[in-house]
Amino acid sequence: MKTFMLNLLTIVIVIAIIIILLLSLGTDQGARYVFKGNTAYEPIVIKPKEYQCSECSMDIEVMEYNAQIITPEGDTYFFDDIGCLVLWLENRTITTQKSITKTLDTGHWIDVDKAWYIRTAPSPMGYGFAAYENKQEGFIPYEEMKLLMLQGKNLHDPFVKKSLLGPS
Amino acid sequence: MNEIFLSNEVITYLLSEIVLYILLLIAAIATVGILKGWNFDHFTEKQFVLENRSYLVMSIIFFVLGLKIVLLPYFAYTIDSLSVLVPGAMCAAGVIDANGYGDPLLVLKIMILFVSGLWLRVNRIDLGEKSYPYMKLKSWFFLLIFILLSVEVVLDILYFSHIETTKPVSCCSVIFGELGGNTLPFGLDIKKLLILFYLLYILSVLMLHSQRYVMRVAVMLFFGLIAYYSIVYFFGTYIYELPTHRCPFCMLQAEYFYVGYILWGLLFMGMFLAIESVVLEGVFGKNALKLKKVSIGLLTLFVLLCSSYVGIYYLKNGVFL
Repeated sequence: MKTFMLNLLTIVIVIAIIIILLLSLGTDQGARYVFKGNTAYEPIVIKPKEYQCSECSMDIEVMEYNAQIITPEGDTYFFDDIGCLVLWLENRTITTQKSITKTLDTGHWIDVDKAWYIRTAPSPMGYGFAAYENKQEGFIPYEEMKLLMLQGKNLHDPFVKKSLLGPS
Repeated sequence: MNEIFLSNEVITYLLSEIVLYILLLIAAIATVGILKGWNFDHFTEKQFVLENRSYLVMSIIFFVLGLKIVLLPYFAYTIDSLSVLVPGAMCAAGVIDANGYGDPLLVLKIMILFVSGLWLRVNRIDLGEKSYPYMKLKSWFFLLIFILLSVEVVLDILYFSHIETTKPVSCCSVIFGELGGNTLPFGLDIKKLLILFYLLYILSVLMLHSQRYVMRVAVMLFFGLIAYYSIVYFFGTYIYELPTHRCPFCMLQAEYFYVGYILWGLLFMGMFLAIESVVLEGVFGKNALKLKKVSIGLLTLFVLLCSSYVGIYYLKNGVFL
C-alpha cells in the first residue's frame, strides 16, 4: 500500500511538472519576445535575429523596418513590419507608453503617429507600408495607414497591388 | 606582469593547484605503469611491487582529490576577493565574466568536484575488498579525471592571466539584472519556477526512496538547474533584501554572513550524494541507505534555508518583495 501511494504521488508530481513546462513553453512571453525594464522608454537597439516579432513570430532580421511598443512598465515589444504593429495593437487592450518606428529616410526613431507612410515599400511582411520622417507626395499619415492595414488594403491585396504598382 | 598575479589569494590558489597537479602527474605516470603490468592472480615480485606502488599512488590521489574538493570554495573566495582590483566588478560575477575562460572553468571545476567524489567512493569500495577487484576500473577512471584536471590547470592559468585591471567589466546587476529579456529557462515565470522548485524537491526525495536509478539522476540534475535559477532570481533577492539584486556570488560575501557557501554547499553535497547512491546501488550493488538519508537531510536543509529567508522577511516587513 505504501509503495502504491509513493508511486501514485510520483506520477502525479511528474505530470504536474510536465504540465508546468508545457504551459511555460507555450507562452508568448518567452525570452525572445519582450525586453523588460526599459523604464527610460528609449528605443532598444537589437541585433538581427535576437528578438521575434510579437505579431507574426518571425525573427527580426531587417532592421530598417523595425517598430517597437513600450509599455508604462518598461516592457518593450518588437515588430518586423509596421503592419504587424497595427494588427497587434488591434487585437489587444494594452496601455502603451510609446509606439515608435524607425524611418527609412533618416534612420531616426520617431513616434508612429508622427511618421509618414509610403504604400509600396518592400517591407518584411510584404504589406508595403514603411515610415518616413519627411513628407513626400503620395505619403499618408499613421491613421490612414492604420485604416488601410486593418481593411486589408495593402500589397497583399492583388487589386491594391495592381493599382499601386501597375500590372506585373 | 599582470597585477592579478600579485594578489595573495591568487598566488596561494595557483601555487596549490600547480603543486597538486605535479603530484597528480606523477600519480598518472605511475598509474599507466600499474595498468600495463597489473594481474592480481600472479604471485610474482613484479606484481608485489605494483601492489605496493598502487597503494602509494592511490593514497596520493586520495589526498589530492580530497584537497581539490576544498579548493573549489577557495577558488570562489579568490575570485570574489579580486572584485576590488577589477574595475566595474562588485563581486565574483563580474570577475568570472572578465574573459571567456571564466565560465567554462567554473563549470569544469564543478564537474571535477563530482567525478572526484565518485572516484573517492570507488577507491573506498576497492580498498574494502580482498583482491582489489576495481583496481583497473578506478585507474582508468583516474586517468579520465586527470585529463579534466590538465584542462583545468591550463584554463586556470589562461583565466587569471587574461583578467585585465584596466578594462571595466559588468557588475552582477547587469549580468543577472532586470534589463533584457526573460532569462529563465523554458519560458518560466517566477511563480512557475517556484512551483517547479518545490515539486522537484518532493520528487527528489521520492526518487531517493525508489529503485529508478536513471530517473533519480535525471531528477537530481533538473532539480540542480531549477534550484540555481530559483536562488538567483528569487531566493537571492530575499537574502539581499533587494528585489533588483540578482546574483549567485554576492551571497558569498561577509555582508551576507557567507551564507552562499552554506547554500551552494548544501545543494551540491545533497545532489552529489544522491548521484553517488545511484553508483553505489546500481553499479556496485551495495547498500546506500545512509548516503540517501544524508542526501535527503542536506536537500531538506537547503530548501528550508532558502524558504526561511522569504518567511523571515515577510514576518519582519509584512510584505513580500
